Amino acid sequence: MLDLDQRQGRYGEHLVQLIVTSAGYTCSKPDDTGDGVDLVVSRTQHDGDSPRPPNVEFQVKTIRNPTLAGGKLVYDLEVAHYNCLRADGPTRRYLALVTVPGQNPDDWHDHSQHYSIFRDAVFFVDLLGFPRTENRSRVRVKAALTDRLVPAVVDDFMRRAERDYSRRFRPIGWSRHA
Amino acid sequence: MPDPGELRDLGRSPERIAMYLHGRGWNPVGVAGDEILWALDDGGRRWEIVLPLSPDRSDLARRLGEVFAVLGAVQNRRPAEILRDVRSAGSDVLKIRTLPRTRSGTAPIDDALGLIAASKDLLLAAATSIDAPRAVLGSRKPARATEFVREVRLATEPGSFVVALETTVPPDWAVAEVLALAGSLVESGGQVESDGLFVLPVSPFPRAVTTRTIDAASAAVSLAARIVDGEADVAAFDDLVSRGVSANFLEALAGIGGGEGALERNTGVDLTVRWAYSRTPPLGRPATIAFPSNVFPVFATAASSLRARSPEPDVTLVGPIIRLQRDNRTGDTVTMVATVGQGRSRRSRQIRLVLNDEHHDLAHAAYGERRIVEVRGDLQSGPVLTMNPVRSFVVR
Repeated sequence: MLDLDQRQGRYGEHLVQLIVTSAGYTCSKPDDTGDGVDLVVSRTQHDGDSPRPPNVEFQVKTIRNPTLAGGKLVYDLEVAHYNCLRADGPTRRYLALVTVPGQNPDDWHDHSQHYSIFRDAVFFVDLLGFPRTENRSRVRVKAALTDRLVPAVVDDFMRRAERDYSRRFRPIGWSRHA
Repeated sequence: MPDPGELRDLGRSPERIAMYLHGRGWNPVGVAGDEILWALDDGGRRWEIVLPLSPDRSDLARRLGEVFAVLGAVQNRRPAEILRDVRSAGSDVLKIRTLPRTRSGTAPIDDALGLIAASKDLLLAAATSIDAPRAVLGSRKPARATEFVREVRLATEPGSFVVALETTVPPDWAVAEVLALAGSLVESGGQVESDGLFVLPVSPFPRAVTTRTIDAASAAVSLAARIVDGEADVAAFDDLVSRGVSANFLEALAGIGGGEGALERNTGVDLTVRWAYSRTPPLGRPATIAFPSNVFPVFATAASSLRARSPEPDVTLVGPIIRLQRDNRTGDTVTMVATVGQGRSRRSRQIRLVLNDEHHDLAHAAYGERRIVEVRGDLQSGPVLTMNPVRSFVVR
């Protein structure tokens, strides 16, 4: 049986995967390579399975006691993860903040004959280009309550990534020897 | 998915991946920062992968994992198998697969050691025959042949019992060009032959040895099969000497088959070549040569036949004189004991020495004082192993 922290963490990741899949993209959990990427979103190649560049990556944090400040959801993010998310790189990364209602997992979901509900919500934060921090441990980040991660948003992220990808690569004038 | 540590390790040599992609028909189509976009047109369908070049990227393993996932999908193979190919992309790989009656991936230890020794002898014989094709190769091998064998890397692979012999082949101009375009350095350790316009037909020595091994093995197994069918005689192996077949090569092949009792322990052998992706592969060579069990005794017989009819040149023997005989008909006979042969056939034998007067006096003295001698000359097989002539005689 997973302990509460593990259960909350995986619940949040699965919730994000559900949203991504709803948007029509593939979403996988990569091996832990120490840079805080929890999920990779990609299109698929012709086989409908293997990833086709470009990707969008998510770091997922799940909160069971969400705090609001100034009408925004706040989260104290580890500095190392903050730096990964704010740095410019070939792959776009976002922070996904999942809120669950309290410490009782039975309250996190509900269902009837006609629906299943997984509570509460997923928000996103785009930290690209944020300033350096002098903090040593954690940095407070904020998500607007309007920045909900929903399938349409995922689709928008992917379309943007696709446009950047097309622009980014300078063609190579190379031809194979006959 | 391959282990992230393995992927990071491979990411330090992106030129190997570039070589592999080029060899599999992928084309570099775009560059951005430290990334190369590669595309493969597969019957009107376009596959794309992004190859990261910087080993310092935090997402290196993840990106390479995606590359291998796509390659696995394109080739319908497990990514871990492809990773093994990429690791040796700059090398010709000869794989000797035996089918011992043991669990897959294992072999009786004696058979495994014999196979490894015979594999080395096979490559050494092929390498030696390039400079000096002879029916029996001398014990002194050309320097570049022995240096070549020292550079061969051996690995075992799953599936029956497979010994993989890897020899690094420097890239030709076409591959060097794509590596340069990929923004990577060619760390081949070898020369890139180029006149700036065309691929030069120069074959580096490692590639020549691989080609020689395949050609000689292919010719030997074809002839052995004809002999088994009664369509040819072992003397026909003489005609294959110019193609790299020698007594040494045949003994090595027989050793790969497992020697005596092999038929009960081993159900077959095949030799597969995977040409390095660093160079255009030679045309018209079989990718796999199958050795039915019944050809190995033919190889052993043919090797003995070649040895019996051809002296082994320039052999050095070390050992004691054990007998001096006076024979009015044949003159004085001096017999010594020394170790002869290579690999599994290495054993102590009595050797008759045909000596001039000066060497004869030295032999008498050595025999009387129980001293060890070192002799050098041509070794002739037959009912009695004979060194004739003896060119050098030293008492130690």
